[in-house]
Amino acid sequence: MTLTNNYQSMAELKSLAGKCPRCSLCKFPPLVAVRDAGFSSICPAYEVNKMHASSGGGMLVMGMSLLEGRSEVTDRVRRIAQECTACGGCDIACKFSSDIEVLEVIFQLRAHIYKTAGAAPAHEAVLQSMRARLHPLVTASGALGDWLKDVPAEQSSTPDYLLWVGPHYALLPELRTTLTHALKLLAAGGVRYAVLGASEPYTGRAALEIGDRELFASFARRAAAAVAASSAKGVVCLSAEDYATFRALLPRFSAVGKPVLHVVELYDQLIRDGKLKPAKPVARALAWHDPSYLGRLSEPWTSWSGERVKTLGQMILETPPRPVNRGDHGCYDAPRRVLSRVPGLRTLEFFRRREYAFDSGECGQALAVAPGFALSTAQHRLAEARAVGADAIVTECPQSASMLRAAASSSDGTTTVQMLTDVLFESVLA
Amino acid sequence: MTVAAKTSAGWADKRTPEEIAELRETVRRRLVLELGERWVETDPCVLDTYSWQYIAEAATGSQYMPRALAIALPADAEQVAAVVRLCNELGVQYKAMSTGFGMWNSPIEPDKVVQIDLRRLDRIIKIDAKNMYAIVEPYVTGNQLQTEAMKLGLNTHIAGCGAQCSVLASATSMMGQGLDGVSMGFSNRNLLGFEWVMPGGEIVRVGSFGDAGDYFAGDGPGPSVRGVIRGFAGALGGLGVFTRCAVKLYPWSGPKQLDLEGGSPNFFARIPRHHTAAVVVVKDWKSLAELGYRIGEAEIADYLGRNAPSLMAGVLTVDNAEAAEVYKIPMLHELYYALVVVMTAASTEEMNYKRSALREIVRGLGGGALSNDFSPAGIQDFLRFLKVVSARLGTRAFLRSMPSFLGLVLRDARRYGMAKAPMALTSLLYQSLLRSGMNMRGVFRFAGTFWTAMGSLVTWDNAIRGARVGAQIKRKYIDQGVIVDDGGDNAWGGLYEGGTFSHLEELAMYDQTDPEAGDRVAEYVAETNLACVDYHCGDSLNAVGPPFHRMFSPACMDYDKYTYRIKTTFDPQNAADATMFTDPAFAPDARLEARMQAVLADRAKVSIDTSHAGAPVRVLAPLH
Ligand SMILES: Cc1cc2nc3c(=O)[nH]c(=O)nc-3n(C[C@H](O)[C@H](O)[C@H](O)COP(=O)(O)OP(=O)(O)OC[C@H]3O[C@@H](n4cnc5c(N)ncnc54)[C@H](O)[C@@H]3O)c2cc1C
Ligand code: SF4
Ligand code: SF4
Repeated sequence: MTLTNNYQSMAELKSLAGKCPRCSLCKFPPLVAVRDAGFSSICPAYEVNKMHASSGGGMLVMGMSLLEGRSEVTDRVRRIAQECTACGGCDIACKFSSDIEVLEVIFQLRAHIYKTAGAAPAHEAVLQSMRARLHPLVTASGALGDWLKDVPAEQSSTPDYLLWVGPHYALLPELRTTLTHALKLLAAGGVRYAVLGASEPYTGRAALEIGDRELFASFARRAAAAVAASSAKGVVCLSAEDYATFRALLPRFSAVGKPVLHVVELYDQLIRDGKLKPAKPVARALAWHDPSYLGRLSEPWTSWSGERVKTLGQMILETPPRPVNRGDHGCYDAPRRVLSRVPGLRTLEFFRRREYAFDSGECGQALAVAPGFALSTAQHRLAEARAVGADAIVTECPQSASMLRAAASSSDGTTTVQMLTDVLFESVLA
Repeated sequence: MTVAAKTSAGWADKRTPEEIAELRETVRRRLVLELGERWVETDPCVLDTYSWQYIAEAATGSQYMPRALAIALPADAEQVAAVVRLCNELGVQYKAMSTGFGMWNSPIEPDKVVQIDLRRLDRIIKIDAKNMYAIVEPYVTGNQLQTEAMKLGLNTHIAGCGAQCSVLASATSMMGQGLDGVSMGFSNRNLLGFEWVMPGGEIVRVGSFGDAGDYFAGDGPGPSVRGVIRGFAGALGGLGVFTRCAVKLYPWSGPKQLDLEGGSPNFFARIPRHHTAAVVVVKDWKSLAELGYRIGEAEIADYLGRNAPSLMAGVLTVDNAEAAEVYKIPMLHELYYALVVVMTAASTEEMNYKRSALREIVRGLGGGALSNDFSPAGIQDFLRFLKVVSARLGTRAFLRSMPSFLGLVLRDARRYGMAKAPMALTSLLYQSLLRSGMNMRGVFRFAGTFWTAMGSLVTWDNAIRGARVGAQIKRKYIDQGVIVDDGGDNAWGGLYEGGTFSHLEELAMYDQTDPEAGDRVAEYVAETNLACVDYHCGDSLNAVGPPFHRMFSPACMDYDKYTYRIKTTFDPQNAADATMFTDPAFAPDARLEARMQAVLADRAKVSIDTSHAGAPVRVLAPLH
């Protein structure tokens, strides 16, 4: 039987999930990489809620139990599934030793819950917002193209890049400064870009995270079509969420057909080409936080179809070999290189970094339904920053920054959180 | 809603679903009063996440063990004691779990047992660097303790189940063998004292803690109860709950943290200057036995053990396609008579001494070594290594191996860079041994899962003999296509405490989603257990639970009678679920009997060393 890795149902994942021996590796970073016992978990759900169900392995079993009709969706099951950031830490940790698709099962679990029991009210509001206003930001006011009135975008009629702004930058006033800085940096680097303004579709991830796969598919197709219709040669995402969605999810519905970069990769290129010159010293020690969307969740997806056969009696082989995302092809080096070029700046590393970074509570639409859980997750990450000696964090994902800031203000209030774009702007143009 | 767990084992349960539901609700309500709503779980789907267990298929025919009545997550010893007292009061059983790897922590019958998940007891209470011990709670993993110990120049024993598992569970309750055993002993030997919620709910502190307020010694004053609470295999949850224990730590001469580069799953660990990682190979089983003893006696190794070629192929690769390629290299296939070694030292002089000693031992046995020693002598050792392998293989097969072997080196060059490629294999070996974090690659990925056999604590040459017996029995199951054809020999294990004792277990990998495989592998286990008795290989790792105790006890001074006395004295109510220990309520079921009859009717032929075989021992002897 021909199999594919474009999983459309939990049943398609059953034989992979069946290989889980409940080893618990999904609860920790790869063991060789553990640097501190106090910060040795990789799973926000398990860190906060402690039960096995609240872990990658636990979610996998919940999925199988529901699939096999051993149990039913209850409020409790729904709450456990929601108090997970869908950050993929478990998936990466499991795949240090296996090829089980834990995160795919988590998405299918959410789809199953959505199909059989609908969305929780707060999630339904997000879906409603997507259907009615074409974006997921329930409390945001204004229209998607309004930002163009405030922020000068020097668009080119022969663009190299389609600059994908995303609903957060487009709608949230607190991100206006960063948006302005990003556009100024691109202008200073001589980048020819175009924007879609009001007609830029949302890439749709929130729907997938909630479990409405059909809604997600319709947004994904729209986003892919918008890229195809543009004369630009490639896409540059300002938002890490869009970047991850373009690279890892959209290709399952429609080929994107053009290279997709995150803006930090473009900064990195511009600095290497001498088009941006960080000159002003920024005398600070900042810990770089790898957002899950920019890191492991952005690893490109490669289509596969093939067969599972047995060799040596019972050894399971896939022919041709199935590409397995193990997290190491996320965007990790570009931000580090950019920061290393800023004079005076000392970049510190978290204990948990790169593909095994601990999420900061921003992913998976957990914030909408379980704000306490999301905040605890961010607080834990903040504590880690302090443990590595940083009183400031730098990142490049608006949702991560917002969670970490909320955590800082709910605790000692002294840790500051900055966006890489703002730090670079300070050094290049301020 | 109560959904009875689906098991093909068919447990007889005279209660109606309504009665079970009522009992569950009573237990839940009372537990909530003790622990709070958040820390009690009875949702069927969530209970299933606890039921899904390693080798459940062998017990129940599905991947789920029977469901617990409820899951309880107490926060401290007092809350554990409260749960235990409550279970005694309500007449239900309980069973503790620490990190929870393996079906041994699960109930054997549905809807009868409260599972006590000790996840919230996760603190390293103290590391006493001067006196070299640590006090830990149940959910502290080997990896966490090692990470903190290394910062203080210390190291800890980690059992082979992996560093993600609990230190305390192995020390107090189950097994305890790992490849660091040559220098850091066996888990029960490192146990210095413990806090114990006894089966009735009384909290006692054992070892010097009870008297002096600190855990520096495991025994006395007065009689030791270490043997009482665990012995060889442990009580597997059948004697109450351990909420804290002290374990001995050992010197560590390496850096505070591993020097790691690259990303998952291809980390490159730089081996410190004064450390050596090596695969040493000799020409036959006899030399391998001698090799183990000599290395042990020389006290030069910190880690010492055997990985069979297939396991090695698993550990060195990231997926099955790659493993299958590597496994095809005839050269690797022939590393039967090999040990993996890590030696650490505090100075160049000390390492030079250890390297010379190892060299003398290996050369004395006509062997060679592949290591991170790139000195002229180290290169000579490598050439000898090739010579031993080529002598086994024959020149033509050896030469045929070369392209694939070079392919492996090129793979490493692509992965780690040209300069690091020659060190890649030893770096992987070093990471794997040091952090016990890669075994899972070797045993699960091939087919899905594995079960193990033989593996008693015996002398090293007896362990080797046992492995040879096990391999022959395994061949029968390989030929029937129910397990992976790993050549028969997949004996894994190590030597302990300078080689004074050791173990080798015979792994069998299978697909747990194949309905037939679990059953047949259980037969393999039963058959190897019989062979352990017949060929005097010691009581096996699978001497767990009453059915198997019945097999071994008559051959080992009726030990089951003692454990039975311990159990009934300490736990007259049989409140702690002792189905994996010595269960006063045990009655063999028809499935088990049928399995044993099937095995007895068709036993594999074992042709080596039968001179050691004694008179056949009774099997399925009446209990107690
Ligand atoms: C794949 C695999 C490989 C293994 N390899 C090895 C090996 O190489 N060497 C080795 O020594 N062991 C091995 N084991 C067995 C292993 O040692 C035990 O499973 C071990 O104790 C794991 O720790 P845990 O916390 O996950 O145990 P758990 O599953 O939590 O518990 C193991 C047993 O101890 C009991 N228990 C746990 N905690 C407590 C407590 N606090 N109080 C009272 N009883 C308790 C449980 O009821 C259960 O019976 C292996 C197991 C598996 C599944
Ligand atoms: S999901 Fe993966 S890491 Fe987690 S328990 Fe299962 S196999 Fe182990
Ligand atoms: S996706 Fe993240 S939060 Fe959810 S189970 Fe996996 S590691 Fe935990």
